Amino acid sequence: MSEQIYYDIECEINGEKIKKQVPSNITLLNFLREYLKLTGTKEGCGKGECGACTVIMNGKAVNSCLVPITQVNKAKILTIEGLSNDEQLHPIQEAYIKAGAVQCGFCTPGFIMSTKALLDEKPEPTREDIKKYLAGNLCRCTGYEKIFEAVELAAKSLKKK
Amino acid sequence: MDIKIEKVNTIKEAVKLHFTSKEKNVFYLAGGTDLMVQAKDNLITPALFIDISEIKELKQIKKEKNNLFIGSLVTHSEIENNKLCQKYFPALVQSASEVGATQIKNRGTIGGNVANASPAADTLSPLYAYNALVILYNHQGKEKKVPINEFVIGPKKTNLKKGEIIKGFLLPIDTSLKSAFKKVGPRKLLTISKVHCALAVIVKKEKFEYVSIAIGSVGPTIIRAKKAEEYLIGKEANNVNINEAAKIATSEIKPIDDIRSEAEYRKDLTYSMVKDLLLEVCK
Repeated sequence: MSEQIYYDIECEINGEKIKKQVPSNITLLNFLREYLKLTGTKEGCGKGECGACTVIMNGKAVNSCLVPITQVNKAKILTIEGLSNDEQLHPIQEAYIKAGAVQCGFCTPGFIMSTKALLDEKPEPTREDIKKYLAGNLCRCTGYEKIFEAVELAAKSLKKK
Repeated sequence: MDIKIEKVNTIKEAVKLHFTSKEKNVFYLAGGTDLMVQAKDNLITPALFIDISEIKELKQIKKEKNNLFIGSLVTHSEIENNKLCQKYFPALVQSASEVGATQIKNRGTIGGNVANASPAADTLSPLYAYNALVILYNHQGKEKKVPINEFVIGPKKTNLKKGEIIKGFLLPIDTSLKSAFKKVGPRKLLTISKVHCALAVIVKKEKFEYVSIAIGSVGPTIIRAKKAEEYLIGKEANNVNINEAAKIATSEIKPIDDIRSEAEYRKDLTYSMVKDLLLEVCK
């Protein structure tokens, strides 16, 4: 077995500057959950199929389970914990509740982060845009219909602001 | 995952480390969408990952004389949204847009898709159809250009030598070329191809002047349907000829039964995809 290498990383997570020394063989997901205790981001398949671990890295939705920690250096990361402030939920979170798009909830943080990335890129997506963009997030409860409605609702309420 | 990862900042550092490393299983790591999964599943046992993700010169897309250069670290999302790619290489754009889903496209690179050399790699069929050249850079600072079909030599096998790296791809620009891509998988999105196909044609005075047909997931590497291509040259672009060419193409592939599909079905798919794509580019 090879000798463990440690890596100094500096990054920004949910607006907060983070500086830490970590083993070079961990993923962004391990880093968030185990080193920073940000457990809102979930691990489903661990292979980039289910999207439960989706976070926004440098403005783009990524599967955090496949991001080696060496690539997190200097990155700006937004996780589900960074969406709401202490008093108020984010309009996308509100929309998911209103539309009833949450059942067991395990996939929800990933879906919400993908929704955020989509609406940042395209504030008024069509139903087809939504389906294509969210294809990398799997939900075994809702049948997706209510999730699509939630995204449309979120787009509307973000437009009003 | 017990892996050593070393990050490099320049292409020179990358090839030097690749060349001098005494370890046997050394991989360049870019987006990690294939390698991280394979390492987790113990399909590969890497002694070292050379993290090349921050080498800027590998991230460019630019016109070079009559070619488009696409750096090996360009992501599928970047290809999908790039104006030059959209203008000259729509089949490549379409294939990139159908790789995995958003999160994978944002991280996975074209260099990685080629280096992984899966017969199901969606960007490979367009690269074959466009006669792309692979630009390799080595530890002596030399560059060489290799046709894509000579670089990929089998499932998960390439001709990459120790101390070499894929710098990028060179795609010849021809404004009279019409091209298209199609893939069919078990589901519509986030899916691995049962068959994927890209083709490029030049039709002048309603006759085929140039044809290239590249089909993937139907053999150990991408297969160029040479007989079908030759059959069409000089012939009229009509339904009868297109139908015959699609039939010939099915005789050139070598599909197998595997977890994703059956040989018989892959033949049927190839027939209808080649036909539909030819009709589409002749419209």
